[in-house]
Amino acid sequence: MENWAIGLEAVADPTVLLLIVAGVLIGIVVGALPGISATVGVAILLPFTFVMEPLQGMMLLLGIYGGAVYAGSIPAILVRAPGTPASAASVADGNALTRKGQAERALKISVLASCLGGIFGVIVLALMAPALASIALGFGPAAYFMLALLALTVVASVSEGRMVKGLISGVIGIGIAMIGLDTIQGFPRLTFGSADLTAGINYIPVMIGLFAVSEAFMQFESKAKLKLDVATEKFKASLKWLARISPSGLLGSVIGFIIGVIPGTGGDIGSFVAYNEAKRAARDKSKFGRGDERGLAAAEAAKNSGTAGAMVPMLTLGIPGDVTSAVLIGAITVHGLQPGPNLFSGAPDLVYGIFIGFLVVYLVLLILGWLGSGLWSKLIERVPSSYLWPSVIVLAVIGCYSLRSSAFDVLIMLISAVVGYVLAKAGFPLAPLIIGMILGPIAEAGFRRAMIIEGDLSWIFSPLPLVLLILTLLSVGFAIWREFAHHGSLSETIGMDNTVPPTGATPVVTADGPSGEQGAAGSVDSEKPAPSRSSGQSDS
Amino acid sequence: MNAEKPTATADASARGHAPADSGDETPEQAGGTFADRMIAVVVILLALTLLLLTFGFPAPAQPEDPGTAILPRLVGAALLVLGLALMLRPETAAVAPPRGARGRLTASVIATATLVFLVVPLGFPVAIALFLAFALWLMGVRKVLGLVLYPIIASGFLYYLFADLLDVYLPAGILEGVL
Amino acid sequence: MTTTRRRCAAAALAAAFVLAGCSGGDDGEGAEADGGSGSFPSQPINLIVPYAAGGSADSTARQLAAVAQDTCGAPIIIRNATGGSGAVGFQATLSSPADGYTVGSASIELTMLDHMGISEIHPDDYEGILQYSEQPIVFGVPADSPYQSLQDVIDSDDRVTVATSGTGGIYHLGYESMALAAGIDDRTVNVPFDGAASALQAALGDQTAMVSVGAAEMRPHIESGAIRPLAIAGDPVDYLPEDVPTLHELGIDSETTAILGLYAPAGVPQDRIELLNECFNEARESDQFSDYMETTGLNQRYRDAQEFDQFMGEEYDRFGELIDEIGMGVH
Repeated sequence: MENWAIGLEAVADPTVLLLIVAGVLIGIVVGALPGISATVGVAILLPFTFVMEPLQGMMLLLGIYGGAVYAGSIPAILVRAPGTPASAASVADGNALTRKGQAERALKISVLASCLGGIFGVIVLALMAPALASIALGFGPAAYFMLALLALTVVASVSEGRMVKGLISGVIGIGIAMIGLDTIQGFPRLTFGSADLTAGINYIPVMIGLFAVSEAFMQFESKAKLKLDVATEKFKASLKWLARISPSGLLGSVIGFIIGVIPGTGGDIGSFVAYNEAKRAARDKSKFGRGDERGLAAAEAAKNSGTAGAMVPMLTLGIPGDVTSAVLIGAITVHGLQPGPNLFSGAPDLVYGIFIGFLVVYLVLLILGWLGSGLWSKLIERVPSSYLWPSVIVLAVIGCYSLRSSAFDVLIMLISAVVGYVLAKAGFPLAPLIIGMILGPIAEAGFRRAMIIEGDLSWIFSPLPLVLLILTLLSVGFAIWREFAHHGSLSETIGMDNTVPPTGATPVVTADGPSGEQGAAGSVDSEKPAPSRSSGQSDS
Repeated sequence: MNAEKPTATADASARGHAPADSGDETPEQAGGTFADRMIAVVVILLALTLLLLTFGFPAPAQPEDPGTAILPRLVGAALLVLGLALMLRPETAAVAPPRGARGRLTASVIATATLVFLVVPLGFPVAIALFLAFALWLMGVRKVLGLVLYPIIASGFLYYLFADLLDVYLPAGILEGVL
Repeated sequence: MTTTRRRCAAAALAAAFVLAGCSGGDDGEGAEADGGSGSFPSQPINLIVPYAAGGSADSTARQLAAVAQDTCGAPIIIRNATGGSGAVGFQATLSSPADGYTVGSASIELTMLDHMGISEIHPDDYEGILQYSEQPIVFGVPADSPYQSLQDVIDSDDRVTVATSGTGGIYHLGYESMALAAGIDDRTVNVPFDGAASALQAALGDQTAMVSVGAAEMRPHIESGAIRPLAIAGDPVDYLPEDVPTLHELGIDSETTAILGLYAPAGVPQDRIELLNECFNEARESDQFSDYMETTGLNQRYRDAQEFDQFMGEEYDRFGELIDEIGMGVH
């Protein structure tokens, strides 16, 4: 108890509070720019924290971290360009809401859910960090493999009604991630002698090109005539609305936190899984992929509680939960402190100060984000599309270049944009491609390492992998059941996102053949000239 | 229980997207399985190429390791099967842009590609400014002020934001030394 | 609406203020360019780091650069060019103009990549500027491991899984070299992970029997008692417990050290190399940098330009043989 008092006292310092606010502001700027992520912001300001008190330095950096992870959803929702990878899962439903004129609503969901997730995560972190450390350690290669498999089943869920195309998308994603040096053997696969390919294809330029720049192309095509008739909603938050999105927010928080605790997996995976679970738990799934608030809330909550989760192994073991926390470790060690059990007993003011400070970060974020969302949504309404989308392309180019000072990354972005355009118009869901790229390497590395360690397949029957395997089979079984149970259901067969372009060119999707594939009812098409990008399987 | 039709119509109006563009659409674009079949062919070819390449992969460095070829082969096999499935059951979709928009779309892609290839040699500020001017024009902006002022201000602001404030390295190209 | 706008504008200004204040020192806007008559350096110097932001290579490079901006009299712009165990960054440096305005952050992988067929880099392709750090490899086991010493490992007949930061990395080669010299290389199994932190995580979680990483990286876990160090593959370091033997003390003829330094592409005029060596060394010796190195636990170890060149050449030859012996060579 007195630790909390010590922590509170440490945070009550005006310098600390100022640094928190400054950090959050910087974080929001950094997070909202696609390609620049929290890691960059934290790494750049890290040296300046060396001359500050440990807590002050950490608070600045945590402010940036929390702010950036939240703010990545702003461009994701408004222009389909995730500012940080963790916001990829918010693109579909978030942008669908924007297209319906409900940008402010989407942004406010993002703020609320992010803060809910963040606060939840920090509380759990504070109360249970040492106990949770053993979860992180218990996750061996076998468990990583099983977890990746489980997360890959999201592909099936997201491709409902478009199973073949969704799976192609996902497998292509896995294939792209194979390019480069093989993690285990160091053998250059599919690199054709190119130094750039040997380095592997970074999924951030792919994501930005696939989602945002392809959309920009489509906007050029339609010359952005779509915006004309969008009646923007004057959004007013209500308790009923809060009650509607809270359960998903909570669900997302739990899932995101657990996945965040596992080193090497972060908000990007957590938000997709949380989204999927929210969809599974929902009775009316018709709007998932087309602007369901619950899906958005779950994804948002998950990504922010994931950042708190990533702090668990970082503080208790000195093992970074994700790239950004790796930099944060530096902020602690440079003051002569070591993460680990000694940190908790030896520097309680720092540790508990961090907990309380992190809470304050989210409170500040709540205020700034709530106010800002009104600003952003007005901005998106006022700015003419003719200015907006060329600017998005420019930001994408800058962002992708800045990742590794590499023109190659920008080229990848361009190729992904063209591919994304074609695939989207042909009715392929795009999210599976990203999911495949992220999870493929984790699955492969986990499998091979597990085999190397055990020498045979006995690791499948270890407790943790076994549990995850059962969950995976259940998840797959569920997806298959839904596919067949709704065989014959017509109309919206469109997958998760980017499947139907907003232009006049409407894909008329018909059922070819007696079984399996589901088709759109022809009569509905006349209503769909410029449908929202993200459409979900409608069923009840 | 299917609630498709009501949902679809409700959504269509909720989406707020005016069917303004449907006028552009010529009957030929209304649908065709060409796109799906084409993609299926590409997928199958990729799968076969991949499978072929894997036979040049080395054996695992250690006996217990399943090897570097396992995943590529799985991916190749999966793509082959899926590609065939797609080929057998293509859906109709119109991927090509409607007649009136084709030029614009191509121009935007080419402009973006040019930007990508010129950012390093020309430098970000200049390349971005030129791109923006062209892109704005393509989008229908005709006010001279918009076509000239915005590109210059935007590229200047962005360069300052990234290269100075955020300490990110952005080549200045032909303006090297000036900034 | 106007109030919101004003509020937001104020907030943005505040942020910009902080940013400008913070970055002012960092990107060298405050540093005066030396030598108005155009003497070297009269332009910003590019420093290419082949590893990701936040790692030891990147962090030390940034710290060094922060001080060197004053000692060298030119702004130093850091670029991260990652991938291929350093290959991408190395190639970027080597292919830049040899005028002294582009330098690279060197790690020992510079001498190894060629032999492993990852990237053709020969000591003739670059010139050393200085070495500033080294850390020996340390082999450790989880605290609850039955092995109390390296001799236990050698004496036992077990198959020993060793977590490393990656295949072909210095930590992998380090333990292979030890295993070869100790005669246990037929029993050790390399389990490559993504970096030192993941490797340590595996050992901490009892997933593998041993772990091989750098001394500075293992240090926090040794101090917390979670990892038991068995041997140091080099000279003793003062922050490790005194009773940890070196391989030589155990009679095993093997030594592996990871280093950090700076280099330039071959062809840079000798006087510029000398100048860079001087000004970066001055930065290295500064209090600010030394304090930083002390708290992170990376040993400072200096070699000047010629010594560094020679060292890298020797390491190149040594690794050529070692990599062939281990069986990972492609030449």
